[in-house]
Amino acid sequence: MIIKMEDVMKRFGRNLALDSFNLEMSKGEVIGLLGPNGAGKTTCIRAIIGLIPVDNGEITVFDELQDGKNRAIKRRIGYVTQELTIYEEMSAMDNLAFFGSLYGLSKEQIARKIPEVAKVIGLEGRLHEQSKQFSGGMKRRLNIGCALMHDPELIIMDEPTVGIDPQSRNFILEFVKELASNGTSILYTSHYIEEVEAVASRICIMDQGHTIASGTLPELIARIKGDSHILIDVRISSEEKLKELRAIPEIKEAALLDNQYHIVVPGGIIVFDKIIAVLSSQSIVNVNSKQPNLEDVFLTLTGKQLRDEA
Amino acid sequence: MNLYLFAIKEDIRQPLNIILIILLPIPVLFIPGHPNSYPFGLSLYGMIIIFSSFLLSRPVVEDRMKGIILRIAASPISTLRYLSSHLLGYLSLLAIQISILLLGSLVIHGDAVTGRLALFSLYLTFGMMCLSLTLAWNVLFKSYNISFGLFSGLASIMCLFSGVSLPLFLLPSSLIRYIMFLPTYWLPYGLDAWFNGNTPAFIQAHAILLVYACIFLLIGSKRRL
Repeated sequence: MIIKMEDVMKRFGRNLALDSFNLEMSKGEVIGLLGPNGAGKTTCIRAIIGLIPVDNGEITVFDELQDGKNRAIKRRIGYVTQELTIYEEMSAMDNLAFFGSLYGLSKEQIARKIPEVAKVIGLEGRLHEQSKQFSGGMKRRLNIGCALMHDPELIIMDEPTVGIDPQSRNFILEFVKELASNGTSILYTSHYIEEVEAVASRICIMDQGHTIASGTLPELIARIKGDSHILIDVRISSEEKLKELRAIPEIKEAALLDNQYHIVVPGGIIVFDKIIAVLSSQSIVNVNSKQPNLEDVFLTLTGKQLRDEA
Repeated sequence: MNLYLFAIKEDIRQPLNIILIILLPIPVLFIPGHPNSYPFGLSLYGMIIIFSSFLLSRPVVEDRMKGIILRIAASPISTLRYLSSHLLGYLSLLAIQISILLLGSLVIHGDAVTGRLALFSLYLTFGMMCLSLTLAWNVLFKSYNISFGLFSGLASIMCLFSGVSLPLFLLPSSLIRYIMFLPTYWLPYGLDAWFNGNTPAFIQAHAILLVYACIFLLIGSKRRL
């Protein structure tokens, strides 16, 4: 087992960041950790790495107890931070060398590893440039590269694609898939559901410090199978109408994203007339129903639109 | 590249730091002293050490402010090793600056200033205290600029009242019993002891500066993620 978290609790003052949280990860798995802001994702990651002590429960990483002092565990983890944690005044090469040296790599190992990592992150030929001259995407890739120097067996990626262009995002996603195909275990957190859908072999949805659901994408979708998802585009939207929709007993969940109402209705129940009655004054532009995806799973289980919370 | 060399490399990359290290000690050497005392520039140099320490220790503060400390904390490197390597790097740069001052004093003051090795040791101990002080001070702030602004004011006042930027004999004796609690007081105290050949007082100055350095280091090494 790569990671095992059992009934982990972590409190920050009155706020319960992790509430009897459980997570298991086997070798070679890519787990996508999904949750809105404040769900406890970062706390979970920091507890796994040993950056913060937990109040209750037990965390084992590589079958060893994570107490924050176990350097053998830290040596086997690569941590890709959400913020750019590189030295922008330094060259890409110096950054890679520095972060490699933190993991005890010798000069020879670093010299051998730098071109290899540079190739993987697509920065070969730019190694001697100051990283502050790089584009956002290149900095992100360097940020990832710094976590790969020591060939970690477990990579923890905390929102690695925040604020970058689609091209760089695709590059990173392809690269994560490639890493996973080589047997590296990856814990990947993101606000972008489509990213998690694309890379994760198993998804863990968390909210308010505990696991809401966990499983493969088909398993999660199966949990809400039978529900109808209705999308209604309107010219004028309002929170008042959303409240009215939520008040309809047959409606399981309703959310508003821009000018689109997203309504979840249990299968077989016909409530179109009630919905139309509520929204008739909103100038309906389009009505659609669709097959559930991960976003619907998230919405159904947490009652929140993930992207809105980001 | 080990942490110690990395810390030095980070600092000397800044042109301001090079100027600070090489040029800043020179002008103070031309400041004369009281006829029965050492050149006052030797005391005023303490102020340069304080501000140099603050500027040299900027990278370790920025590591904390930019979140790089998170990545470092996630690595197998211990906080003690990270901090000691950085502080040793900054202390080495301060040692170069002190050496430049003492070499300059050899040219300008000649035999009027003796016991340069003892002076070197006093300045270095003072430098350790200043680096620890800046580290502890910066724990209180999230912005380096605000921290520097407030520190500048506080350090200037401390230097003024502790005899660094104003000779000790000009200060009223009733004030001495209070200002001896200021860590900066122990540099001019040590300089007086060095000039008068008072070895116990000279050692005492070292010891107290080291105690302050340890206290500040304990406060400053508190990891803030």
